[in-house]
Amino acid sequence: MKKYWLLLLLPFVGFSCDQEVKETVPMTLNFEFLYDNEPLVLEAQTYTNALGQSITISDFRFYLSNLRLEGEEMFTEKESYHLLAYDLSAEDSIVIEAVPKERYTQLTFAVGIDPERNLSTDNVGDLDPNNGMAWDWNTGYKFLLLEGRYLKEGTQEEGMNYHIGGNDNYRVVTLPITLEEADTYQLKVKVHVDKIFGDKAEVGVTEAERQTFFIDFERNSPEDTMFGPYSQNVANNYALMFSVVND
Amino acid sequence: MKHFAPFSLFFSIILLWSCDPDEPSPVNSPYELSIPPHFSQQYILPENNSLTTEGVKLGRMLFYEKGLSRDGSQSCASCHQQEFGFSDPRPLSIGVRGLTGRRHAMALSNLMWERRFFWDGRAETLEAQALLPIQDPLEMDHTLEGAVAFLQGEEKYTKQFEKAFGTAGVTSERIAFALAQFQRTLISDNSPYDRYLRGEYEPTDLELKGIALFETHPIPGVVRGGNCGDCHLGTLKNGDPIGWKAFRNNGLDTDANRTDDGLMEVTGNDFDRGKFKVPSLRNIAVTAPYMHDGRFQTLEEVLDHYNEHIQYSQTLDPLILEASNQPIFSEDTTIQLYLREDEKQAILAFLHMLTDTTFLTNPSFTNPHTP
Repeated sequence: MKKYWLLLLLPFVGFSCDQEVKETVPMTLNFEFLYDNEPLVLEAQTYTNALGQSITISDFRFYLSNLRLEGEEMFTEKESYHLLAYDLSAEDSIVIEAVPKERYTQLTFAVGIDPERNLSTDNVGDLDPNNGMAWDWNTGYKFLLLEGRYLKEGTQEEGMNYHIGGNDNYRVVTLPITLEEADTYQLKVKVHVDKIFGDKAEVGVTEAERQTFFIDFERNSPEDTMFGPYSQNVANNYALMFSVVND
Repeated sequence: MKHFAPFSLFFSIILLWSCDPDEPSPVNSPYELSIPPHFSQQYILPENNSLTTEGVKLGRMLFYEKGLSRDGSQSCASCHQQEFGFSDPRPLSIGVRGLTGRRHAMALSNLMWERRFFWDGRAETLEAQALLPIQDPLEMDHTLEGAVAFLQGEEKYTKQFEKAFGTAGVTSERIAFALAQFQRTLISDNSPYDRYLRGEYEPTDLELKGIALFETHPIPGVVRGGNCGDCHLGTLKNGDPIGWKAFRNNGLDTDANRTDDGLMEVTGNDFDRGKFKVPSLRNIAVTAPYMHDGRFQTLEEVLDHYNEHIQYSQTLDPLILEASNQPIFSEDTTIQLYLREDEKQAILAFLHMLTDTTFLTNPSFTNPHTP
């Protein structure tokens, strides 16, 4: 009765429509994790923040999501959830197989997981509760993880565990880019890890005029390094830790 | 891309349809491995060693084969016993000639989700892992040539190697491949915890409290936590897949008292001193004793260790160094979680939820040789 056989034609309909679709090309985003403009070194290197306090870092990772390119046309990556991590080296990358061949002037993405997906148990993209970035199924994902030690002067060192998450710490980042039509796109995104604790270039600038907030390692209690109100200062800072150049 | 998908699907159906009856599979066929939907989809299954029914069968024969040891006294299963979660109830395993091993035999399950093997991570793959205990002087103390020669002298093995790999020949690489294939089938996914995740089991209040404590990093005055879930992750309850993060120093010894450097022996990195593999906690209630040297006899001792006996050292994990259920004052130099007794009981109740009796008694994993 119903004409199910018509479904057989669907593939060919799809096939013919494709002729009108713009050509697509691959895109690679290469990430470099830097501290004071040098490749991040885990554990062996002592780093300081804008307040002159010393730390070492033993682990660094964050979620980059909802990636979008804008120009004359807009490209939005589907199921766009990428875990970027110091996985044996201070570099990581994202490859997007098919980006419409266009000019693009703006790159937009978020640090963190959007509220719709944050409490979902679906394994989409790099969302996977087994990768060290999930608390549990009621709390959602850690957006940014930075672990290490606070080398507190005159006393035993303290453990330092920034596990920033919660919807209030989701941050959208927009960066200007210049991509002309090409057969392949390649961008280098520099991740200035030091800026998570405040931009040292702003030392000497009054607190009211600073763009970043100087994080005080005396406030390393888990309340301040996970969800608490103070953690939003860290989130505001990590929204500013990126710079991008053509690679 | 998307527009092509229905077309290619349509096309491949025709292809499959026409080719399937001609598929030659008289001897061997792919082993149907079912991946639990609630596990991570990021597992390791090397393309050059796909599981086959005959390969898995051979691996199981080899796993229980004492002829792989120099004096014919030891098989893999001597120290990896199914009823104990493929672990060993002895703190340190005993090898050929009664020699005592260096570390406790690790429990085996869900190995496709592990990135490195041994307590010190010295093997990158299951294939690489498989041949080392055969040659370890404190374990099976054989040579690969000797093991190959033994198997070549047994008709059941020459036949089975040919069935498994399509051509005749016993080689050490094939031994490793077959052992790895069998071990990848050791999937534990039917514990009460798994059934809870699948919505088939209603945990007790104590178990639910234990799950919450296990997963929670404590925030003094805000939320109480057992601080377990940052290292024993997700649904698998095993170590971290990123970099070397499955290896951590969990505060067993001070720098002065430590006798085993763990991961540092493999990486040569001073910052890896005293780090050992974070084991999967599946079937943990039956894999006593605990830690790389089997120093703790009971889970109660393990919890007491994490709660009140952490030893400070330079590479102690920051997640342990920092975590506490009470505010840390600078005059307090001990590292304690400050869990209450009822909270320890709840965590213990959760750990017992990880015992998978289906796995521990699965007839597909037992000794295939007639005694």
